[in-house]
Amino acid sequence: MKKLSQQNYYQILEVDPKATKTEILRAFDLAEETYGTDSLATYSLMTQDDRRNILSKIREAYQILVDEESRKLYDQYLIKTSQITPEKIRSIQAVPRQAPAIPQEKETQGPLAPAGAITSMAGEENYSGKALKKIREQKGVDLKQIAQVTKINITYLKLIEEDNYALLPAPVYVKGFLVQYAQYLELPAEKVREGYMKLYNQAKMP
Amino acid sequence: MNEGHKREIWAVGGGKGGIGKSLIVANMSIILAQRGKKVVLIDADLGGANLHTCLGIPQPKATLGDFLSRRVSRIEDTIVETGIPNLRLISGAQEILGAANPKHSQKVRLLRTIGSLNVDFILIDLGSGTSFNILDFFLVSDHGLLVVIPEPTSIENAYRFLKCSFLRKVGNLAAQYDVKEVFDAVLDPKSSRGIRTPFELFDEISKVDEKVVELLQKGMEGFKPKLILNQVRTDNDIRIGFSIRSACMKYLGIQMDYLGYIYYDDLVWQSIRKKRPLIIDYPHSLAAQGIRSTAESLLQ
Repeated sequence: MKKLSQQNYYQILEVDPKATKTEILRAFDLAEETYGTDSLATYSLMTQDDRRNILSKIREAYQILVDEESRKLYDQYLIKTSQITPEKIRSIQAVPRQAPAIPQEKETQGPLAPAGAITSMAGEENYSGKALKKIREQKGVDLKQIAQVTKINITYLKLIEEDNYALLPAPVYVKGFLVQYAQYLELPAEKVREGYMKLYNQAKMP
Repeated sequence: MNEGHKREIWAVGGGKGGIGKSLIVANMSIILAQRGKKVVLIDADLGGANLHTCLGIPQPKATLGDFLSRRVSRIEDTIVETGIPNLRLISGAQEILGAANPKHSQKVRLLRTIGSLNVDFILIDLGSGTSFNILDFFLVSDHGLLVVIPEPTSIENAYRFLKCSFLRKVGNLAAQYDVKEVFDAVLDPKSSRGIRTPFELFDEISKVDEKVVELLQKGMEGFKPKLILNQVRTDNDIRIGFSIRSACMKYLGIQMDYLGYIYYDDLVWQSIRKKRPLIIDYPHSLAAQGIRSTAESLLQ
């Protein structure tokens, strides 16, 4: 296993070189939480200085990768120095600044489609499980992928998509699942949660 | 079952007591048995064995202690039926004062015998702490599962357990490769090197002999413990698993797989109170779903 000082920015941030901007943001959030002052996960393992040093490396990586232009240059550097092969990097064509004439493709880099697609694909303000399933399928995302990344039991994800309210666990858990599900699909998490829970509560009413 | 049949060993540890190791391992063994796998569950918590209670059966007469002290010659004679098809149990020592600390020769005999059991899966419930006995069971397994709950004491003990396991395995490898002198010299307390992490250990060894480091690092590639986060209540709790995994990689240089999490669930204590397995009495409970999903991740 490589030391932090020997890792490239993608490895430091623990994201794939093809990661979307959302995935980079998410990874940075987790890293800040992991190596922050109040972190339950690391306070007993390392000193404040250790955490500060790791966090400074992570911030450096984030600053480069979150900016399209600097990321592109960094990717080229990785390829040039044979640290990575071109096919492992995002397609240069997919970088928005490379294709300003087609703004609707701006967010289509990486595996997921734009977040705003929910209304056009599923109908106005429709956040039912069936509508969510349709969006997921249109984005070409397998339910197993979501289960693997979010660590949510796939049975619950299926129940959510089936609108099977009777078998779903307590609302507090369902809300958490919905937020993670929506974040993975790059959908507006709050809206999805509220919309779905509205239907859930209606169905549960005597 | 033919002679070449591969027995898979899962060992469940965590460094701390009261974090749900026995509950998880007992229910995982039932899940495997329900899938038609022949399973033997071993209670290696030699100081405080109670897996039989988790399974709702009385204290078996013959235990591991009897095998260790040679009161019974064959380990098969300590195996008892659990009432659950395909699942049998070897209970831990109860009454033998010395059994919690078996001698090296007893342990070698036990590990060799366990490996020859005619089953598909052997699941081992480890006690708390980081004694060599516990670490050796953990290291002999195909999958070493580390149970942690999102509380400071549990997390602290889990890191200690990881570091001790790592060190124990490197030490074993060093002895196997006949480079124990280098290893011992680096860890000599008089040297005041103040080694805190595996990264630092390898750095120090490389100052003495770079080839030894390469050898040991290669040997350690298979050391990949798997994390199970138990008793989670919130999304933030779930994220702690990802944070622990990250810290293990970045700071310790240990590759940890975050296998899954299990929700805190009142039905767990109800099942314990009833002395009935959770997965049988409450198969659809949140905790049971989490255990099932975690076991499935391991089977994939």
